[in-house]
Amino acid sequence: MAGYQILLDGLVRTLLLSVSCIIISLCIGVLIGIMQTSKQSVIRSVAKGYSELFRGLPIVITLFLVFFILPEAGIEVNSYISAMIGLSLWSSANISVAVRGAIQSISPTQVEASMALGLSGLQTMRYVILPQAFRRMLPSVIGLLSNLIQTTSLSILIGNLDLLKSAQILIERVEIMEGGAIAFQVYSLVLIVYFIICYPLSLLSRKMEKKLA
Amino acid sequence: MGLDFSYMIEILPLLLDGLKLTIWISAAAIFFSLLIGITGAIVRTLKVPVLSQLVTVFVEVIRNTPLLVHVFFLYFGLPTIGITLPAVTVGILTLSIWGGAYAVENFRSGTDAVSKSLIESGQSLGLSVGQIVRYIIVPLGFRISFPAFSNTAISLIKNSAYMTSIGVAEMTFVAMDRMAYDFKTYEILISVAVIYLAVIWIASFIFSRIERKLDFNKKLKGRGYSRGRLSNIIRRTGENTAS
Repeated sequence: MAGYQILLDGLVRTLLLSVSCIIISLCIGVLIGIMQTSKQSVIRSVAKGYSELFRGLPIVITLFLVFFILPEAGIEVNSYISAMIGLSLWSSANISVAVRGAIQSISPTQVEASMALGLSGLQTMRYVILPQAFRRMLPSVIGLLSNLIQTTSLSILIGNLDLLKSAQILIERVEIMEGGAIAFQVYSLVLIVYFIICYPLSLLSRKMEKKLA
Repeated sequence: MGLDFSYMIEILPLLLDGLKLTIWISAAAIFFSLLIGITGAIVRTLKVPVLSQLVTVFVEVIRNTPLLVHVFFLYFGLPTIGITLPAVTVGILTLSIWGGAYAVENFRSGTDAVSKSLIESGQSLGLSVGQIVRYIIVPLGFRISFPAFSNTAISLIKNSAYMTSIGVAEMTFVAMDRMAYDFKTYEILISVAVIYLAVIWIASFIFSRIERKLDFNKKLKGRGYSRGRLSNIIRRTGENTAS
């Protein structure tokens, strides 16, 4: 079953890319989201500009930009790292908007109350706003992460080897060596694998949303 | 990094030519996903037996699998069972199906929010199911959920760039093609990025004008909708349509 071995390798690489993008984009996304609610107009506009730019550009273009322009600027990156950077830029911009929405949905009287208690701005954020905002943003952030996992498949456009690419390789190999056309079956299998990964996430997201409502 | 501006102006007509196809594909996909979205949402809201479950399965499958795999499935997978479609058709088809699945969810949040008492009053007035759909569910539900749909529509314009992968000569494909010839990476990518941002910006502007025209907040006042509930629905459905 050499064919399954190729697909399995691809799946592992897809999962690896997804997990690293999830970690990076959560960190950056939360940071940018908090910056968007800052009182300093410079910080706010930088963060707004970041999310507007990377939400406005098609993810395909962001990937190409990272892949082609970083090397010309003297930074050597392979396609895996480029995909990681490009997807994280895009996903963190999306996450930042959800984070900002959640923070702004916390009533301002709570901020006033914590000020009256003598908490500093940072403490208010850490102990009052973020714990509540976190619970509110979780459903939409999980939805976005499922989107991110699906979008990692685009990394094959810049030459990254992932589940979809290994499917292509497998199809070509069978075509050349055995003369059989198995594209329909293999792509169906790929669809099923992605569904198995992403469906539980969207169920979880919906369950949490119901719990909140 | 010195930018070669004269080259950027030189390739502009080529890129704009590609943009035409981008816009054409996107417009067709937005139109079809609107149709799929409204139909699916009505079927699910009215809980039509069998059909309603089919729509649910359709929405879940499409939303939980990557668009690029849909594209490959239709373009490379279907020919092996004897169905060959041209690339542009595959492009419009996959984008419409993808956008339609998201649109069903967008509109359903609106049609579900049409209060039960309104539908019941319709029934007590002797309206048929068709009339209830036509005069109560669609006008009210559509208005509320349009902002969520416009997010989906804008995603569709951006995602038309996926069609580069199957050789549809839209703007991204044209750009990649030129890059392979001229090696002016900076100039081409920056031009394309700026054009996309402009197109997305114009599209957002058009959609916000349509939203204002539909004016859901003003027109719905006193019809059993509270502002809070309304914005809640829009916030919830809008955020999940990224990509």
